[in-house]
Formats: sequence, C-alpha cells, structure tokens
Amino acid sequence: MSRTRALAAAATTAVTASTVAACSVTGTAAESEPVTILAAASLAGVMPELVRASEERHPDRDYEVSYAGSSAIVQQLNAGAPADAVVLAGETPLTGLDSSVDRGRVRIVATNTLAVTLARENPGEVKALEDLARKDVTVVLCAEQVPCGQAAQQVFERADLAVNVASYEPDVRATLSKVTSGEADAALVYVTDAATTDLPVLELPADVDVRNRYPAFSVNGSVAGGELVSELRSASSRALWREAGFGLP
Amino acid sequence: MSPRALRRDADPGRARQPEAGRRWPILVPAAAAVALLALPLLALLLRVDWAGLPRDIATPLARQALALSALTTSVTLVVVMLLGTPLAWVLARGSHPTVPWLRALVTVPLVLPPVVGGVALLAAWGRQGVFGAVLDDTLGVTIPFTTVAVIVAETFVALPFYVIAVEGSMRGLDQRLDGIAATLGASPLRTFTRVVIPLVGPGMAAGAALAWARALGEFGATITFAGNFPGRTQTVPLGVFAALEQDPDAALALSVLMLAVCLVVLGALRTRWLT
Repeated sequence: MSRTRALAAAATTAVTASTVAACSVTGTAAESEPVTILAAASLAGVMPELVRASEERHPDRDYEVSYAGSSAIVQQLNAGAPADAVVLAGETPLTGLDSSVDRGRVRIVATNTLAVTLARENPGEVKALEDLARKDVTVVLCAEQVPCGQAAQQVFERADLAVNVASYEPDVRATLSKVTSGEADAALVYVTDAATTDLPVLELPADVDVRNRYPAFSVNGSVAGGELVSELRSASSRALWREAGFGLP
Repeated sequence: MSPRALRRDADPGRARQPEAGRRWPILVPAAAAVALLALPLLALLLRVDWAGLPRDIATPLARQALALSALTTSVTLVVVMLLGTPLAWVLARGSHPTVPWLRALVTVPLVLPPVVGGVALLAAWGRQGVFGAVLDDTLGVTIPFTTVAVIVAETFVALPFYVIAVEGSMRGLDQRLDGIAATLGASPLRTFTRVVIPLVGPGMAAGAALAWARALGEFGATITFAGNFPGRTQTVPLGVFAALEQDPDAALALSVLMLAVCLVVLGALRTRWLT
C-alpha cells in the first residue's frame, strides 16, 4: 500500500514539478519548486491543517505531503527520494536512516498514545484490553516495522497478553481501515486516528500505555524544510496538534 | 524499416544488414527497451549477497513465506484447472449469445489492478460483504485473514490466464474430431475427457504454468483481502515487502529466488514462446 502511495507521490511530484517549471517560463504564479514533506501515515489528519498554516505564512511556496509508514519513509530517503522535511511517528525508524542522508537537527514536534478502536456495535464484545486475547476476537495491528506496531507490541508486553492477531498491516491507516470496514473486531491505533472515526474506542490503562514521540527534521539543507520544522512547534501549530488529540513535547 | 529495406534484407544476393546509419532509429529505442527490462534484473543479481543467500532464505520469515506460497499456489493451480478447463471449452465451442460476454468477463481480472480485485473480493466475501455476511451468519465462516482468502485471491487473478491460454488451444482444435466422437455415441463428458483434453495437453500445460506464476506473484489482492500474517497469509511477495524495511538482505534473497522460479517457468515454456 505504501509502495503504491510512494509511486503516486513520485508521479504527482514529477507532474507538479513540470507544471511549475512551465509556469516559471511564462513568468506567472509560483516561482519555486514545491516543498516536499514526507509524513507518517498517522499525520494524514492533522498535516493538511499544519501545512495550510505554513502556506499562509509563505504565500510563494507550494507544499506537498506524501504519507507512508515511517519505516517506508526512511527506506525512501535512503533510496534518495527528494524531500525538504520529514516527520516520523517514532524515534526507532531514525536508527535505520542511512548516514548518507543529509538531515538537519531532529526536533520532537508531538507525541501520541494508543487506543483500541472497535468495529461498529462491537461485534467482538470487547470490554477490556484482556478481551483481545480471546480466540474469537479478530485483532489487527500495525506491522512491527512501523512505530505504531512497535508501540502495540510494548503495550501487550506490559499487559502480559498474548493477542490473537489476524493481520499486521503496513501502516496505521490500513490498520484502522480494517475496523472501519468491519472486517476486524478491534485494532490498536493511535488515539488521534481513533478520534477520526465515530467508532467505539477503548482507552488503555495508564500502566500499559506507550507514548510515541514524533521527530521532525529537514533534509538536504532545505531552508523551507527547516522553517517548516520550526513552525511545527509554533504556538499556532501547538493548538492544531492539541485539537487533533496529539500530546506536546 | 521500409518494405523495400525488408525485401533487400531477404535477398540473399545482397549484404544481409542494411547500413548501420539507416537502422539506428530502430536499434536505439530497441536497445533502450532491452536496458529498461534487463538492468533492474541485473542489478538484483549484483546486489544480492550470494554467500549469505542460503542463510537469508532460511530465516523464519522466508521459510514460512515459501512454505505458504508453495501450498497456496498448488491448491490454486488445482482449482484453476478443475474449473478453468470446462470454462475454456464453453468459451471455445459455445454458441450461446452470452459467450462473447462471458469471455469479456473472464478478461476483466486480467487487466484489473490487483488491489481493486482485493477490494472487490472484500465487498463480496468480507465479513460485511454481500455474500460473506451470509456465510458468517449462517455457517459462522469468515474468509478474510485466512489461508483460504489467499487461495481465493490467487485464483481470482490466475484463472483468466489459464482460461485464455486453454481456450486458444481449444479453438485451434479440428471441430470434426469431437463431432466424430459424438456421432460414435460418446457423451459430451466422455468426448471432453477422452478426445479434447489429450489434444490440448500442451496448451493446458502452458496455461497452468502462466497461471501458477501469476498466483505466485500475487500481492495487491492478497494484502487487501487476506491481510498479512506470517505463516497464514504472508506469501513470498508480502514477505519481500515486509522484509524490505526490516531485513533488506532477506528481501533481495527472496526476490532472486522468485526471479529464478520465473526463469524456470519460462524455460519450461520455451518451445511455446522462445522459438
């Protein structure tokens, strides 16, 4: 899924780049290349608003966001994907970033925790986290290479639960889609993703919850990317993060 | 190349190759096409850690994926041949006005993006699907996230390859042969099993090889419909996708293995295509 998305993003980038180039020849509208942001899938809800705020501040800039699992983003960066700024959903994928990638200073821009999202009308009759270990409950999780998957593993370790997992999905959006479509009974996703649906949500007990930190950094010395990273920590951005259910560092 | 150039080419009295200056408009794009196809495969072979290959293929992820792919593609092949051979016969010899429509229908999954196939399979056989909900309510059977879902997805994408290939051979069959069998009193089933199938054996083998290779490579419909769980629904292509971000060496090793399998299949079909 993230592969298709990456391809789509690459295609869009190429198309927009050529449009922009065509514009600059005739001397109209946007003069610069678009500012490319690679963002974790869990940011798909809040990022458009954060970017809109930056667009208002810099009317001459075009921003483009491509969403994927954090590990897929690191993979893309290692393979030389063009980007100005990157926001990941956890710090672990950073360890996989190739030293050849020229990245700016890492700033933590937000934090997030997990919640159990249940399918409509709770067909699995899940009332507590322990119910996820029942054999008749279909549970989907993020794959362990993405931060929401690592966080989910930690939650189950802390709760000392052996969960009957049906599928490991490539990113948090794909995981959530399995409960919104009713194919799974329960999914462990970020509270911010759970909040984008009207499905029943089971909060995690405080002693097992895991808090992920979202690192952001600019790439290839991009000025626009660096500015975006600082703007993600501005007072107005903090209000947007909080509104979407994220925690603040 | 102009028809005149072609004729000159065929003339044994003249030089067999027209001068290079006239051929480059054809040779350069042709060479680019070869490079486009061959370079990524070559790169795969250059990048793979040959010494570590046995170790990478023996990782639990790779072993489970290989075993699951072997199982699901074998079952898929049996289902495809059992259902596809009679369908190919209907398409080849059927005179009912619906036959051309049926043929068009069979071709759809052939050109449909596999992920769309997965969405369609969910819509039909998902727990909330049109037919899946009935199955779930009456029999308590759910298909998604099971090995059966993998087989359903693989059959969905592979069946058309088999049917189209076998139908082609069946159309090439002399109509009089099965006509004679019928006049000698053979039932349609007996004619089909004793006359038609032995005659289209090579076509069936080719169709089976193609369908099997397509099932082996199935990714989009599988991850959409069957999910991704090691040992249950994570086939080799899904394993490559998962390993790419975790263990790139294992991803490369599995990719090379898949390439080798494809070459073997093509080798087996060489009399059909590579002559």
